[in-house]
Amino acid sequence: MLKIEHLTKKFGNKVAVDDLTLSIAPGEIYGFIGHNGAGKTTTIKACCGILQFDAGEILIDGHSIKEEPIACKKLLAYIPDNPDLYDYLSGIQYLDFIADVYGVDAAVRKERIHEYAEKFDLTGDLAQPVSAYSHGMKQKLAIVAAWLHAPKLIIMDEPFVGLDPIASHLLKEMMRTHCDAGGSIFFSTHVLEVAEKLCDKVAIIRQGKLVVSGSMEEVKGNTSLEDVFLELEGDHA
Amino acid sequence: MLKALMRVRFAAMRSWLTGASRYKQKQTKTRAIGFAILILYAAAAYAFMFYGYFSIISRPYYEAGLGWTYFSMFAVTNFAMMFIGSIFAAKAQLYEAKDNELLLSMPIPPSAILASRMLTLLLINLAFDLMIAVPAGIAWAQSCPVRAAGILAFIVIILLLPLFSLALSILFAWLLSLLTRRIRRKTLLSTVFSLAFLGAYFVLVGQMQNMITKLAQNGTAVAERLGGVSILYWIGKAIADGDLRLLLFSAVCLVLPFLLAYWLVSKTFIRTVTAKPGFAVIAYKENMQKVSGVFAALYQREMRRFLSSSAYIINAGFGALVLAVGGVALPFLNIKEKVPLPDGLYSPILILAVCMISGMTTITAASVSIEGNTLWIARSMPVDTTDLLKAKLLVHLIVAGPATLIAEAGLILALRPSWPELIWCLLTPLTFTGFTALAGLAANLRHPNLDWTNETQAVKNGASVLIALCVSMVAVMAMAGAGYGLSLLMPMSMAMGIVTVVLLLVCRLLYHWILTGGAVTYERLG
Repeated sequence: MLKIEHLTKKFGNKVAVDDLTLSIAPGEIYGFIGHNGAGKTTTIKACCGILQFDAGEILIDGHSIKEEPIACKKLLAYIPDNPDLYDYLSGIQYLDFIADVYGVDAAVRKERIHEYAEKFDLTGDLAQPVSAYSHGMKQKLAIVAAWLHAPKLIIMDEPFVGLDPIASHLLKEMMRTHCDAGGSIFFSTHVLEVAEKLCDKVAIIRQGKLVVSGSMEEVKGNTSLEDVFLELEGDHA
Repeated sequence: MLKALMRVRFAAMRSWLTGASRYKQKQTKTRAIGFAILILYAAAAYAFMFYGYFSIISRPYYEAGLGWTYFSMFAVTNFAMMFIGSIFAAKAQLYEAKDNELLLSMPIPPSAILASRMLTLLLINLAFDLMIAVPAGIAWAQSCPVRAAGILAFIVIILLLPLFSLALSILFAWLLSLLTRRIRRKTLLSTVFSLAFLGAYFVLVGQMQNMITKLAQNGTAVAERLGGVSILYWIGKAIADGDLRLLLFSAVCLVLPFLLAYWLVSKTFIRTVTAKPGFAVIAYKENMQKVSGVFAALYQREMRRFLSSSAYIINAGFGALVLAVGGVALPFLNIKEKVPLPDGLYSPILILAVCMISGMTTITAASVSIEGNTLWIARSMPVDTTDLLKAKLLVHLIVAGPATLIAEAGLILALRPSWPELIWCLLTPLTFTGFTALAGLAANLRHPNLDWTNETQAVKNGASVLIALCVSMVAVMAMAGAGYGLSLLMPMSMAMGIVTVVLLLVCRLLYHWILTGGAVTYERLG
């Protein structure tokens, strides 16, 4: 579903992502782990077509993000680490806008908005302006918007930040359901316990380079993900 | 502490003036120098304009013993310029800055936060102040004797006038924040209130000028009797005669309102900034959902953004507003009787005037910057970048187009032009409105500022807005020059036709760049 091949991105002289290669198959939840400034957000933004990169290739369901950005973007949804949404729209206007852009028809959007907004207890607030939403509510709205057009691939940057325990639990369930239905999820997180429990595969990035990747069992073996991460960080310190 | 806060303010100011941001890691020296030259050019153009005005009146006023009137006029013009320059920035800078809560969480007294923000506004005021004070001072010194005490009074007034203007600006900002704090239709109220205030301001400034002119016409005795107790008289007299007693009175009158305003906003700052806006709860109903096509959705997004902010409406839509109001008023002004000109010159001059005002509409010039932190949404959507840019252009045209048509209708009713003239009365201003939209968008694509801390920095003070305004002004001047040159060789209506066709070609080129190079530039912003 997502293939990153030899991705390199530089900001001036600084190499933010260095020759990174990884692949995510349909049905997989793929965790992306690294310290602050390791290159996670840069990689994620490049995958979403938000950030242009210097070398390498990113393929989404066989389409190149460089050559066919619109075809790729139709297949994916992105939730950034800090969901700055349009404050001047109401929640429902924002969801309508996303549905319009992705061409979700009236009946389907009605059903999905109802389903997901109810799940996150957001229905009562949909008519309110986004500017009146708390950080957590904006995060929930961004999640509903991401699921609204039933993307094949969902890319999330620190999706659990700002969510209450119930919403976090719901999101984990939705992620699993999405992948069980053949979709894929690629997300970054600092919460290693969540990654360990939720992910089928994991990749650890350090200073732009991929340190280790593979199935959760391959990466952590008999220890915990936290031990592996700390050990790898220690090796490179 | 104030020094540290000011460092942050200056860094922000430098960033939005030069267009440097996280998306443009390093601003080249050449570009920074280019911006400095552009700003200096704009300042010099205004200064020369004011020099022309003051140099005409300085000697006659001096000879009539009405030196004080000259300096009263200087004070009114100066105040008018500063006030209009800072009035809408004040609310955004003081109460809507994104870092207000962050700063309030630190051990910084609110008065220091306010002082740092006011100092920035004061510097902007001082820049406007000097643009008028320097030419007024030079024009006076060139034709009239100057006293040391007069120079001292002039310098003191130059330094204190910005305080008075700032006092009124921050009081307006405070009042507006109070009024809109708990209101749902905040944008509507802010816009209506601001426009009413602007209208009252223009009437007041106009009356002040009239009053001074009438006083001057009726002789010193009347002037002194009527104006003896007015602050304008004190200021004028203090500078013209070097009267230090009146300078003291003037200084008190200028400083006291500022101190009172500063005290008032300091006392209420935390409450005003941290007050949660009151939103009346609207019950959600499923029939609120509306389905649109992709381009319609993009257009609605842009239009809603424009209509959501009174600062955006007033600053970027000001030209359209003036055009609409002017267009309605034009047939009733008896322009041919009031301004005697050769018959063939009325339409080209008024057409260029409409173009000049149309150039003050800068909606597209801020339309990229205004996306700020929400740019990721547009960048991650599966839509053609050219559609995003076309939607921005369309909003500009939908707002400015009808206003231009109203101005054209007014122009046609006022002048009753011949058929050939009528064609250019209709086509030239409309083409220029298109040019303004395209040039503004091109400027904003080249110089976006997505890191603003309050939206005034994007819609009013950004480099792209300044560039768009300058480009429009230069374009009108070029059209005037070309039109005049060609009219020596052919009839004026034909000359205007050629100018319009060239303008259309420029529009076509700009449109092509926006859809190609501009789209690529937008895609690199992420």
